Amino acid sequence: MSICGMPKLGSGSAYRIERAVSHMQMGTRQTPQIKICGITRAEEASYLNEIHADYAGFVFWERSRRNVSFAQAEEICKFLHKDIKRVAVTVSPDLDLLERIERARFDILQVHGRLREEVVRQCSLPIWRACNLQKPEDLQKLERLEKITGYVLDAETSGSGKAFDWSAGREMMKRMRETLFMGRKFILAGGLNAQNVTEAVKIFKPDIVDVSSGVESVREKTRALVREFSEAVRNIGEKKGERIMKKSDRYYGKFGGQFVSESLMNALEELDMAYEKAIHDEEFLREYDYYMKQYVGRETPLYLAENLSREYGTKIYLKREDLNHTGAHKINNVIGQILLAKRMGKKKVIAETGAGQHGVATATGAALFHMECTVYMGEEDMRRQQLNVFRMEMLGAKVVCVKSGSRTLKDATNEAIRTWSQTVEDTFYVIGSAVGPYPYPKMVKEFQSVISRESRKQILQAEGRLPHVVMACVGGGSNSIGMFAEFIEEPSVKLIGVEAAGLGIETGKHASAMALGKPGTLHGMRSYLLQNDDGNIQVAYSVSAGLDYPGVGPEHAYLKDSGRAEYVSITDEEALAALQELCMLEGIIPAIESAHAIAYARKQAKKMTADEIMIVCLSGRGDKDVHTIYELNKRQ
Amino acid sequence: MENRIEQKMQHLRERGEKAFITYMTAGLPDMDGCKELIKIQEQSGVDVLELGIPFSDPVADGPVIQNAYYKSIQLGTNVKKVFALMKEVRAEGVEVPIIFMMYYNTALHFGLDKFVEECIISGVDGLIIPDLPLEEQDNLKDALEREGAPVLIQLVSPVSAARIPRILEHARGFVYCVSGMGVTGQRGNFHREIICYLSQVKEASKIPVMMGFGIERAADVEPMKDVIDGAIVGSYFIQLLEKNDYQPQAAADYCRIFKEQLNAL
Repeated sequence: MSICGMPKLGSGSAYRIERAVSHMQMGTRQTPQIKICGITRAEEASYLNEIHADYAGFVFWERSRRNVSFAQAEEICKFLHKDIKRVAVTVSPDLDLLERIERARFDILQVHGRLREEVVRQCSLPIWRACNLQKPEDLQKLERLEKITGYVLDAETSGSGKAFDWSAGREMMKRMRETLFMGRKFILAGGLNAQNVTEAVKIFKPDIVDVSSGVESVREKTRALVREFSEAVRNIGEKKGERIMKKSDRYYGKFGGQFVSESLMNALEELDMAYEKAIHDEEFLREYDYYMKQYVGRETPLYLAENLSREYGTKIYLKREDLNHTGAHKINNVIGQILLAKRMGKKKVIAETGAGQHGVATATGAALFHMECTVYMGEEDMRRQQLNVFRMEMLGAKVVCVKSGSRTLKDATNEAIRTWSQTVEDTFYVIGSAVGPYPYPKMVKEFQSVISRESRKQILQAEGRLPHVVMACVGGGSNSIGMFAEFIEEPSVKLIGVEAAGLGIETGKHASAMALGKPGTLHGMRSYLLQNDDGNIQVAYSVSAGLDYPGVGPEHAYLKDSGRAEYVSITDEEALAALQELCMLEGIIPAIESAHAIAYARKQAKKMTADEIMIVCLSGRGDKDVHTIYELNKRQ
Repeated sequence: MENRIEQKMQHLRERGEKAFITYMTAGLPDMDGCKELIKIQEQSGVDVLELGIPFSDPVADGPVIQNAYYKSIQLGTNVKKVFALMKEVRAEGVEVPIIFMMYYNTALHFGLDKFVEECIISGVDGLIIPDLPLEEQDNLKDALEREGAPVLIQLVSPVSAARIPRILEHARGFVYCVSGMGVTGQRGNFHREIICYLSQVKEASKIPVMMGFGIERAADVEPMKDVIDGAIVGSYFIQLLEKNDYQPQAAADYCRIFKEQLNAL
């Protein structure tokens, strides 16, 4: 939520930040993000919106001529685009100021002057530490705290606007990089303007450029100067032409893209535009929030599993997505996409499904909004998940049995794509996982990020601190990307995705695209895929129908390559044991998919202390799997 | 050396003929049988030949080609073997332009540079990659920047609309106009605005315009004969081959009649 109380759906800027990190790692010339600091008037918000600024700085320091009150800031924020992050700029803040900033829902706390210990302790926001660097020795003075996610490099007198001596920049930069670990941002401030920013970026290679007086004329920011500054910055990375820039939007590092037939390209563009418009529309967000609360039953509890914690030896919180209407996280995304379909005037929806949870969720949403629904499901999955097939039919959906290839999720998706390319003129394709061509991975993440948005708030309420580990199972990766979303920019939080190892990675009968997969293209995206020597897609195997997918969402591939998240795998046997254990210890029957995450929680807990915190996403309930487990037990 | 497809297009234009293009799945009924079929088609008036490289997940194809791919993979066909086949047919004097119709992952997995190199060596003249739209072609186009490399055939769909000029800008060989929405092999399911759409492409295009998807007989393209430069037959040709147990004579008869009727339109 922003300080003006405008609903905010996910954090769109995460993409931009991740991309900036990716550029940094690849060592290519990057376009830094833009922070405009010292906003004092409502019309300045529109200047920022127009240039798609990344951060807006509000100064809360009486001695600055750019000082604003909280009421003023709130008023200005009403006009600020929701993707622009709000930075509260302070000098030696005390607890009182911190509390007001947190209450006003700022995204980042920027601290000049003294950084008090109690402020660090209390603060639930990421902190940007401003430092006055003049000589390399000044680096020694920098605090190296977990909560600090960025350093603002400024001239001797903060905000004086005097350009400092850049000749020492190169050496200082090198030292600075060596002392900072990956994930922290470097913000360059101090006397920047449209004329000198290109040179400054070349020397310092900052992640973000911070400008204030450089876009002011007669002590006020002007539209022309803001635009001029923005153009200078955007031009830095744009030497290769506009197409490359546009391409980066569709990609996570080298993953993602739109590998679909020509007949779908216009539809994808139309979808992206409709989606972007919708999530910036308060009406749409209100509607989404309404159905999340009143229909789906959110928010879901973040439950401290005491018995499990005692057994495993660390504090384990379960994010209870199994308590959603229809029994899994899938409905979060379906409601979002179906509301979008409705806005776009589509009356027919199609979907693919593996375990059947996404199919049931889509059938449910379609019934609610009177849409015609067809679900594609592999023959093998229909056998394993008869109950869900029946559920979909009860809800009025038509279930199409897919008999090609492996007869599971992969082939159901092929068939849904084929059908969509025939019917794209009047049909909306509801993709259930964080896969597929752009903008699907982006949309699914946005709609699923409600999981981590709630979790973050809940854990801060319960524990007053962020978790050490956040964990979720990964098939295509929708519950996991939703569980990770709000924590990606928190370097102290370890992110773990758990794939299905089936009968064991070494047997070849598994679904761990990250373990042995190679990058390739399938279902409209470039990502890690299980392939054979000829580049044909291999059949994935797992006891869990929701995880046996040979690929993985492109953002996960990127999170793996960048090292931000870790991906591990759990066998059928381990998952089934964990499932049974959760039944006995907590009285919760989890989905076999979610049981993979529980199983790895036991392993991860061994590396943690009793006081550390782990959040595990319990993505779905196990009712649908009772039959499978019954059959397995009978066989043994 | 000029590209065989472009040479052929020039030749057809000079003679005022329309192009007849067929599609068949590589490796069926087996490698030798496939070679025979290529030769007999060249002799029976086929102007350009598409060879489908089987892939496990052909999302742009309907059931007929899906099944053909599946069978061919079962027989062990892969792109390496198809390159070997190409070398043989070229060594044996086959000069008909040959296009690989394939999915992007096959080339990507092979390695783009290595793939293009093999295309040059074995005499592949063009590529059709249905899951590689204009926006994603940069990497492949870079790899294709070589003497003797195949041309990348551009596809246009009935809903391409404003994208058409951009797609045509650097297109080479011919433009492949998909006749309907969706996948291959839906007989008679031409888009309701087919003529209008084809005219639009024809008007904007500097290179020949071909129509494909859902065509069985030359008469099927009679209504659009003034706005296309040729026809592509895929799924129906495969069905015909299967029905006739891949007998070269059946292929020869069909091709000869189609080409004659096409010329007579």
